[in-house]
Amino acid sequence: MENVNVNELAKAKAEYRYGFFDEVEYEFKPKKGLDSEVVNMISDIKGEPDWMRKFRLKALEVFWKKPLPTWGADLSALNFDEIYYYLKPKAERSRSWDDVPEKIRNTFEKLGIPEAERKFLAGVEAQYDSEVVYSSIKTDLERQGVIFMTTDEALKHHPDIFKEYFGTVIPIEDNKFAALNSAVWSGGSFIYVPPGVHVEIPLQAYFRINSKHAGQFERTLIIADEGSFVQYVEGCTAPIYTTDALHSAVVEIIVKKNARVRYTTIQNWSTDVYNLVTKRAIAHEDAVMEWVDGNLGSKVTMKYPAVYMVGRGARGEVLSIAFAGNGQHQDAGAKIVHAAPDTKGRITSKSISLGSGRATYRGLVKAYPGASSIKCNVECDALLLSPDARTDTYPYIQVEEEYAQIGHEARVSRLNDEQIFYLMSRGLPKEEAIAMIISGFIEPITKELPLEYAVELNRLIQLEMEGSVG
Amino acid sequence: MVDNLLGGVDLVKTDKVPKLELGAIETNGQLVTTGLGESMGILQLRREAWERYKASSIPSMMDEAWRFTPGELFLSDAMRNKLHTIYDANESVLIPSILTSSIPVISDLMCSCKEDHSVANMPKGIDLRLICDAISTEDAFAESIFSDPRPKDKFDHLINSLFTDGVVFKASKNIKVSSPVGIHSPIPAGQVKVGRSFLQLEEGSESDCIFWIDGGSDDAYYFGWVTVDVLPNAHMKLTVFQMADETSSILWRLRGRVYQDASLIINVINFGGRVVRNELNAEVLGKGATAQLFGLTLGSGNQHFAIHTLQKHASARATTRLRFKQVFTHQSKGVFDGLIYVPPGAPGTDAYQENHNLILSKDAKVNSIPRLEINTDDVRCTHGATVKYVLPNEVFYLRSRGLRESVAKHLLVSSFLEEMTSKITVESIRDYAERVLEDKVRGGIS
Repeated sequence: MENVNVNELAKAKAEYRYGFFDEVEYEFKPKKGLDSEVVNMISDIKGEPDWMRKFRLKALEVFWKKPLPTWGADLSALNFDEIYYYLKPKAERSRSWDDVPEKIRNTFEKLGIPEAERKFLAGVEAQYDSEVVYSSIKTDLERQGVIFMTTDEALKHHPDIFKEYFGTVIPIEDNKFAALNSAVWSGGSFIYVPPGVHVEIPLQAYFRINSKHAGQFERTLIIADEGSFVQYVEGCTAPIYTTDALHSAVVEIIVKKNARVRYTTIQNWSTDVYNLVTKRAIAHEDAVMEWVDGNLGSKVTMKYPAVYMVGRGARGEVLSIAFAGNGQHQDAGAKIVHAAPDTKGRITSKSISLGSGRATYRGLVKAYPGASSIKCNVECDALLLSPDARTDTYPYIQVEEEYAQIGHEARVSRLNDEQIFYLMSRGLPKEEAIAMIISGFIEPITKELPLEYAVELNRLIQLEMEGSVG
Repeated sequence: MVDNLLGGVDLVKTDKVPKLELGAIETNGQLVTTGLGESMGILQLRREAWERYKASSIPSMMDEAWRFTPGELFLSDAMRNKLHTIYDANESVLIPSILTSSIPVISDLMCSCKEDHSVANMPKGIDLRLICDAISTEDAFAESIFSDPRPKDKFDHLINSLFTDGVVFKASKNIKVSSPVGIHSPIPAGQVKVGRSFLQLEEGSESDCIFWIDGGSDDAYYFGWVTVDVLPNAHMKLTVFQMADETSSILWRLRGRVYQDASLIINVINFGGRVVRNELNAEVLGKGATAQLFGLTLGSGNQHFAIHTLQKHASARATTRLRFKQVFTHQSKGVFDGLIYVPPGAPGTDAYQENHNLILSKDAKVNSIPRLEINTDDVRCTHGATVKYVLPNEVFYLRSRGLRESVAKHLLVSSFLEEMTSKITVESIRDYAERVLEDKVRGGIS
């Protein structure tokens, strides 16, 4: 197979269709950098209760004390003093689509959120920088008692349930970026599903960063009460800038007895964004938690969705796909923690490295003492498409329990010449043959995505591949 | 414990060794061994290594490779105090009869005497000497020991400054050694043993070596570094048999280099020791080179084993294989940390890494970290790791055939590990290893 043409790829990358941005007027721009003044200001603007202000200030202290991780991706170019920690777009929050300012609407249109989609999809929450500007909740959801709003709103309208769960899955002290998010969080989604309620349509939110140096620190909290089911879909695209931006979200999920939550993310930040996200779910008795995680964009991603299984019979699954193009480092993976008996976990990870891209799988499977009769299986496949590409696998298996069955396997290979030849002998041009093989490679993930996301993912990958092979 | 394990095997006493002019000299607080007949130049190189040892820091637990086995375990105050004592040169060297009765064997203790009866029987074409003899007679070789350009850490400097024990083994060009050669590496009771050995196979030669580590009672320490070079078209098999006392601490490094069309097969069997850290590096440097690493660890009591392996593909079209099996019972702990590293520009690489663990008690712990770092696209690299226990349905099957539960479990565990012991080429040693294995497994199954 001929080598992938890196220049062609760079060109394809530059013509990347989400690489546009609009000039948006910001009514408020605090100074760059972070101190207690900024944190207090965020709390003031939002009119938060005192406990939240204290929480933020405590988190700020922890953030200063915590060192940057010594492992994983290179974060040396990240300058915390060059980042705006809070931005508020001019638009007030709107109930109907028509009220959304035109410029912002244009961006969404280019993003491909058509009117049809608005009709078909459930409550679309679109986050434009740090504030939710558009939010509509289907009335039937409200009738079922489902709470679906921005995290800021939830703090105001449902303070009791908010306080009960907020920060319980990912404590401030967890890591430097969780502390940062805790100090300056803004926006994000809050979902509460009452016992026994099945939310049939996936809840969705689109996120965008659209200001130079804008950091986006959304905070998502999902509580699925006993016997309920909800699927949440989060897609991110961001316009291209020449300087580095930071995205550092925290997602906390509580899956109670017999409940099931599926959280799907397709991340396609522009290739100058640092995407350092902490995502964790707690699964109680017989609960099911599934993460479907796609990492396509960003300069550096460090993201390891975790499932802590604390109740007997809980199940956790992570499906992860990473695509590392030129200059990208996708340090993604998963954590499965067995803290109760009869729990089952599964991790399926697929990665593709192209140009000088580097895809890393970093995972943890842990069995605590007493978590007997547990099973966990990990499978990692990596595909290398150019001689300069790099892939790493760092799986950690820590077992402190006798009755545990854990398996891990990983494979690294390049495109199989024989497969390409076979498809070409059937009349397919080389590029199509390669695209077909790649689609097949990521199929275990795409088949778990909502249809429009599966189509979009395949389209995005084809776009990345365009002109780069053959 | 060792005596217990040796059960029934006689120890052969070699002739009383002559008292060597061994002295540990303290110069400005530096400990430098002498008495090996070394030149002042070498002594100077040792002093420099000692300075570097003192200047370098203990590997941090932040360092991935040291996360589960802190360096302080080996650089304890107890070890430092022991460093200032010297071997009791009057102590006899005991070589297990299991070795002497089947193969020619040399003991690597500095004070073992050159006229050791078994060394005299070395096959033709084999040069086997104590490292102190090699150093005192070949200055160029001695200097090359210190000028090895590969990066060194604190423990390498410690070993370079103080090593006294070890052997130099060379098989000449195109020599095919029919009989395996034994290297006995006993750890003197309550002492710190520091050793460096060199095994080199010249072009086209073939050889089979058994590296036997025992002794080590009374909280002894062993810092060992073995360099293995297998030149083009040569083939080497090396069995490392470690059954030191369960109070000893062992940090043992093997660094192998395999050149074009050559092969190296290493089989590491770990039974003994309290804290054992093995670093097994195999670097393939030529087209068609093959390195295979196999291993068995059987932990019981409070033993802690850390196996760190590296399969480095410095050349295109080379192959490495790795298969480690480990069983842990009582409160024992095990770490397997293996890395396949493929630098840019090594097309045609074929690498495989496998680690299987069996846990037999509720207090035993296992960490398995099979890592890959791949920088070339035209490769086939795969790895797998499993952690399991003795599955009830397998035990049930055997019980339904009339076996008692303990026997059934015993059978399952032994058969899990037997694959590795069966690779030992010398029959009597293989039988012996299987007996030790049986004993330990029996003790570990309740």
